[in-house]
Amino acid sequence: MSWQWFHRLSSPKWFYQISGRMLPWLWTITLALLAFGLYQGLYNSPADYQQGNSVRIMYLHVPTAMASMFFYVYMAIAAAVGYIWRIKVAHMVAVSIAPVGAMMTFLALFTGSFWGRPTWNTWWIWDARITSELILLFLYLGFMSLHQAFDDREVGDRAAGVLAMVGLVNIPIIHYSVYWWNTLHQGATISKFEKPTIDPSMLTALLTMIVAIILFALCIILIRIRTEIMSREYGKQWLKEEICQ
Amino acid sequence: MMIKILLHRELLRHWRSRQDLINPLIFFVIAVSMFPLAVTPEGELLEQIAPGVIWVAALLATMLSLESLYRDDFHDGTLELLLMQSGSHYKVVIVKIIAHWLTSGLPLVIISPILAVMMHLKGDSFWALLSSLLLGTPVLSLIGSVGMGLTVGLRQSGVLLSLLVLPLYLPVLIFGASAVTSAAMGMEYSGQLAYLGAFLFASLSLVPFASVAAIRVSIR
Amino acid sequence: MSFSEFIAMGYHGFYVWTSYGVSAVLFIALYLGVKSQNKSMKQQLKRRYSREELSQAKEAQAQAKEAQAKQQAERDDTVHADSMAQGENL
Repeated sequence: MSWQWFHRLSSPKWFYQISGRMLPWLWTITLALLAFGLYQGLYNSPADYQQGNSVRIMYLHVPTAMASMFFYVYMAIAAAVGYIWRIKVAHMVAVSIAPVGAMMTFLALFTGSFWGRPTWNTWWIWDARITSELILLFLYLGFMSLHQAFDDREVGDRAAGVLAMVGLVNIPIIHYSVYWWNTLHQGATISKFEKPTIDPSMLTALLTMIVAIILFALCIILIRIRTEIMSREYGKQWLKEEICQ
Repeated sequence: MMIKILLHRELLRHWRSRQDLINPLIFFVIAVSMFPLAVTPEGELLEQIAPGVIWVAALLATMLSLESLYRDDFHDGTLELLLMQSGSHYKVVIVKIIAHWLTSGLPLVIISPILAVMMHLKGDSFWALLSSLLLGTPVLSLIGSVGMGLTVGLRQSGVLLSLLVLPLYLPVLIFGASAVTSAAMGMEYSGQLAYLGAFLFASLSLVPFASVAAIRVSIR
Repeated sequence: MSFSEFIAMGYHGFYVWTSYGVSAVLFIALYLGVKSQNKSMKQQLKRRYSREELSQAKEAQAQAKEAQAKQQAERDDTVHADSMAQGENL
């Protein structure tokens, strides 16, 4: 059963049709969760004891940060699958994830900066997690730039795939190095990074927003994959039927 | 046997285009010299920023020198021929990287004491700088070879190469500069050197495979 | 919380609302961008398919005409051959 499913997943036609049917449902769930999460986060949960209302930014910052990391791993795995087994759909997935992941990373840094300013009185700080997130942004941008640079799209897929795999292996090393570097310089700043105290309504808001934002990114990515399929599968009969009906 | 021939050929190739080797070296010196001019000529502050400045300049100089690794061979087809042989591709790539390091990384290491003097680095930091660069520059050549392999077929690959390779260089930079800083403060720096050594051996064993894959993609 | 308190967010209003605002703007822009890319790709494909069909139809027409002309030429030949044969018999 599982091999059959894997084989079907690698067919652009199957992917296109299934995603077409799933998207309306996914959007509905996403919007519902977003609405509930925003209500819970902005209205129905208390301000933090120490950080005040700025803690509400956490409901954006943590989900986007988690999404940025999750999608990089997923992108690298898809690129690896495409490279090793030469499955076109896998390359399409990787290429579609990249810009969305990059935007999530940017938002994580941006919301983090705006959370840091009222809380720790600084727009930017070179702590381990922020620095690692910045490097993640560079890795995403590098992937996108490299893929763009090739005229032959399939060669570009494979080149970017090699880069993604190398990046994936390097991420633990980079994170560890940055963390190590940061512990050297922490000193006076260590008292500033206490986590906010979590109240159950805050937890609900946080978990809802995490799922909502990951689902949102997923919907966007699925639309991008569909566009990519259309772009690459021109000569196929099934696509003609899909488009012209 | 083939390794010796290939190494000889690589070194000869580099020697024939000596000018291309000297440029990154000059860049290294100029880049470091800019900091006293831009920041302050005061010895104390210079000493503090010296490790980072010298290491960053070394990184950038290495990136400038990466062109010589694959570009000429790619354009005249030699690279393809070398990889078509049924022997070990690992050996081909490793020899090229060793030749590259001998002609661009090692000169950086040799020149670094002069720069250390210019930046008022004292005593123990000297040795820390030398050893960290000695261990670190081969890793830079190794990781750079993957980036170079991916971009060798592209036209305007210079800046793209930096964008790809610099994030991967950061761990080496962190531990290398930190070794020198620790030495300057009179502390132990063998830990940092150990990490650099670990990076070196890990890259030696793993990176050439990625490099071969990268070249194969570009040759397509 | 009153509405004005909601907006003020205890003096952190600027930070909270900028974060949510910028995120909302970017998310919406992303959605619109991706949607429009998809639509224009679809339209592009539709145009290409219809042009392809048109040129295929034209080709088919041209081929049919050729076939007709060939048939006509063959008939003329046989008529010509018949009349020649008749002429010989006379």
